Amino acid sequence: MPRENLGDVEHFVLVALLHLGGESYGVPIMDEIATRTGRAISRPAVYIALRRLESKGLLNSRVGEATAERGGRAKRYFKLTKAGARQLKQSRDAFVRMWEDADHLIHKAAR
Amino acid sequence: MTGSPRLAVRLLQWRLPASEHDEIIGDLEEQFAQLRSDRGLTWARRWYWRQAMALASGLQDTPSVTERTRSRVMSMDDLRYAVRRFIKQPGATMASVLTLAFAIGASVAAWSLLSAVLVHPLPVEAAHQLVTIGMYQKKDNTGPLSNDLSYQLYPAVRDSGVFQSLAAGGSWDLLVASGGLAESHPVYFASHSFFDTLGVGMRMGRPFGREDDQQGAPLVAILSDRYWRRAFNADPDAIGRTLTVTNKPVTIIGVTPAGFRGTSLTEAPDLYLPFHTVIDVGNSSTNYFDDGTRQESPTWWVRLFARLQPGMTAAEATRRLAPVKAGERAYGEHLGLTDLNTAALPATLRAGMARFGKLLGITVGLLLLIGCLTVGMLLLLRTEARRDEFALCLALGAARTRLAAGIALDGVLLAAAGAAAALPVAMWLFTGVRAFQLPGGVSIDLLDLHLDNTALVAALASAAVATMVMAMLAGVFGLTANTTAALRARAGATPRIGRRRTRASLVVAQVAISLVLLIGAGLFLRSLASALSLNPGFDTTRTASASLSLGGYGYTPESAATFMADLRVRLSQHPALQSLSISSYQGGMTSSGKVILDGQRTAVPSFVAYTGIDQDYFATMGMAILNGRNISADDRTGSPRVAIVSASFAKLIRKDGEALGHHVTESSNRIGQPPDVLEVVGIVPDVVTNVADLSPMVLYMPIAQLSAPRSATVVLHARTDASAAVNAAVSIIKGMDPAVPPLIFTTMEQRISRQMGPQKLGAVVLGGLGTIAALLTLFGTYVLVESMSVLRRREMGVRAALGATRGQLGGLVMAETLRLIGFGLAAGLLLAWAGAGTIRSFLFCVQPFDAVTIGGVLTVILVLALVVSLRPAVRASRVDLATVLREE
Repeated sequence: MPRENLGDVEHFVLVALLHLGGESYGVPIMDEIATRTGRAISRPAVYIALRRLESKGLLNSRVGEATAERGGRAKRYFKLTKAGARQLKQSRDAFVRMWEDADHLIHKAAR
Repeated sequence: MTGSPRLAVRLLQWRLPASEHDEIIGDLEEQFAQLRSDRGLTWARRWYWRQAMALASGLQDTPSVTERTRSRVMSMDDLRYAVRRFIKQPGATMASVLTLAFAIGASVAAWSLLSAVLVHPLPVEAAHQLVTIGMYQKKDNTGPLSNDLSYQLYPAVRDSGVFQSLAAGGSWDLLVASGGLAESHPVYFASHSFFDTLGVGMRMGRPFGREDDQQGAPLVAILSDRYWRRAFNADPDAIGRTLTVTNKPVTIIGVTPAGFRGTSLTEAPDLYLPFHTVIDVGNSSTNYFDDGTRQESPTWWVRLFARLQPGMTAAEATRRLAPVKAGERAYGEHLGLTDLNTAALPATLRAGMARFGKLLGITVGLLLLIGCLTVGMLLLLRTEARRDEFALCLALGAARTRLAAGIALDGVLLAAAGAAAALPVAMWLFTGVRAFQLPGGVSIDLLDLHLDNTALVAALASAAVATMVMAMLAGVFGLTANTTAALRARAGATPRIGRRRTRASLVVAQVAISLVLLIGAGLFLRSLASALSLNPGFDTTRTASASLSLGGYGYTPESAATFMADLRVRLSQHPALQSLSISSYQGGMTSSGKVILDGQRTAVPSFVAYTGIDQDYFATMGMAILNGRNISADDRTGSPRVAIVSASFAKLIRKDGEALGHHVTESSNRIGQPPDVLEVVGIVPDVVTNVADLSPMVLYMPIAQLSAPRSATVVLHARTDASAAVNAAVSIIKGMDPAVPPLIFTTMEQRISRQMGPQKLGAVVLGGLGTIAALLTLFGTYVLVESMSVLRRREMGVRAALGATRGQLGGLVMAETLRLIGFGLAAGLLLAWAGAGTIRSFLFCVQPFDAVTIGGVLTVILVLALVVSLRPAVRASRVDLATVLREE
């Protein structure tokens, strides 16, 4: 059982990676989050989340290819680790459990 | 080329760890390329900047980024960056350093000068124990003390045993020759205890012994360091050599240390002789020692210096002096003691010197202030130029203290560079002011000038603190900088008004200070000009005079008269001379005495000079006879005594100046004979030769009716050029008697000008500092107006687009300059009004609020300020909106 729960952005980053086939780099991750959540997320927050997830062993990274449109700069690909997947699942389960029987309550509260 | 903003990329590279450059910047570039094709370059660039800023500030929690900004407040990097920034702006840096160097250098030089005069005038040992003994002039022991005493007091005080040691001394001008021609030099006669009492050791040789200090003893001398250098080229073998004093051989036994100039700042003896030998070399008719063998009254010339007993106060010593008697007279009750350092500057000069010190202090203080203001302004410009950098640093998580330290470092570096350059400036100023005189004729050249350490430290500290304050003031803008402001500025918005106001107030202060300094300089120059135009219509440049004293060269009154008659014949034949006169100064009556006019004793308001003249005198001097007649060949010995008076003296005789036919009784010291009564036969205009006396009272008497003098004044009126006439006179005299040294002729202009020493020094000091201040002000004004016009380009563009004419646009800039300068000038006038009291006593025939001076200086500053703002104004008038928008 990991000692820390995932933060919002960390959660989003990991889910975005799932959607992107388990491995991707900064730009598609941010695009994915923006598309799915409907709001632009702070770029620094994404990079900080990526660093933290990597330092917790939930992601690992590798340097990828450089392209001209990036000014010749290499991408950094992040890949979900087994531990990362487990942590994401636990986090999701915790959320789902918390939300059980609460859907109608939030609708009511938000009315 | 991706077209992304290069500065943003560079700053990200600077702030982010290298390992993250590719990932983060690459991601940004990728999205930028997409956005650029979707929404255009401008939009994409703005987006890039926002992202860069956000990234930087958002990443501040990342240890790898904050590590560099938070762990150290200051590093060698900061120092290197600061130095590099200074080198990149050589002009502004040089201006700041030079400004500070001049300001600090001038402060140090001024303080050292005042210290040499007022604080530590004499290089003697334990000066607090040394006193000079004086006598009250009034019987109730009030009023000033006179330090010139009669010889009798010396043994009386010495034998009283009140003091640890006592020295006597006195100064006379005597003819001294060291190989060449004999010339008059100040010779100090010092008792054998003199150097020991003052605690002054010899640089070379030995001091006087008891056996030297006796009447008739073999003559020995101690040279002053200055004279030893001048006359003997600092020859170490000078000891044992001989020179002559009034033609008597004297052996050199010692040289005083450098810097020792005797006991008074108003004199600087060239050599010292034993006290009691004065009678062997001096004037045989002078009663130096009141030894009871002469009929004449004693000569009051002896000065007494004493070292107090350890632990005894001056008051106690004074009390114990009371029983001292000299002969039958109880002098002791009227004696008083003055601290030796205080007495070094005569009481009459002390107040003037203190006022001069205050004026000098205020002047250099103002320069220091203006220097700091200028440096502050330059630092402000620097921080403005670094606005984006500061904003980014803050956004990237730099601590504000770190930025503040960086700005303070700029101030410290400037102050240090300024201080280093200040030392040569101070030394240079010392050399520059040597030619001048302080109030009271204290020659700066003779002062023992050296850099005062206290002054140096104080000036450095004040400059450093002031610069730091200015740096911090400038830094406030750096510290308040934020991302939004930087973005606003980049988007072309006008910066906050507060920043412009600070700079404007710096310029206002500069203008005010420049005005004050230039008015001061102007007033001094006007004083000089008024002094030099004291004798309107009088040719002050072609008339030169010199005194010729033959007494010391073996002439009797008769042979002197023959010499002068011969000189007259030879000189009058020379083509360079238009006319010539030989006159003789006969002494005079001080303002405390009375003259007898028509039998009535009348008080005189100022000194009355008695002068013996020949009949060519007035023609040579270029003076017209206002009323009555000139003296004639008939006015000779045996004929009725006559006199011609100056206009001011005529007014003393009769209020309406109609003095012809009135009588003046000659004040004569001839014992046993009734004084002669002189009839006034002519009146001549006043000729001012002494700036302290604008209504000179002169009684001119025919020289033929006076006893033949051995000394006279030779007056020449040159046909064209004074120097040709002077050279002719000098060579003729040399041909007549090679033993007589060349006469030193001075023109009237030189004579008057010499008396205006403090005013000249003031004009040079204030003029120099004022010019520096004015240049700095013009520089400041230009920079301000230029930057304002750049900042308002957009506004000007819009105005131009809306139909404003070029004249109107230029007028806007000029009006702004005018407002700024106007405020400065008003503040300066207030300052000048506040400082009027300080300068008033040094002005000559000019008021502190002299309309011509103030008006002139105001106009000069205003015109120059408008001239320097012409370029920005013209540029502003040529702006057009399309260009401005395209540039953005």
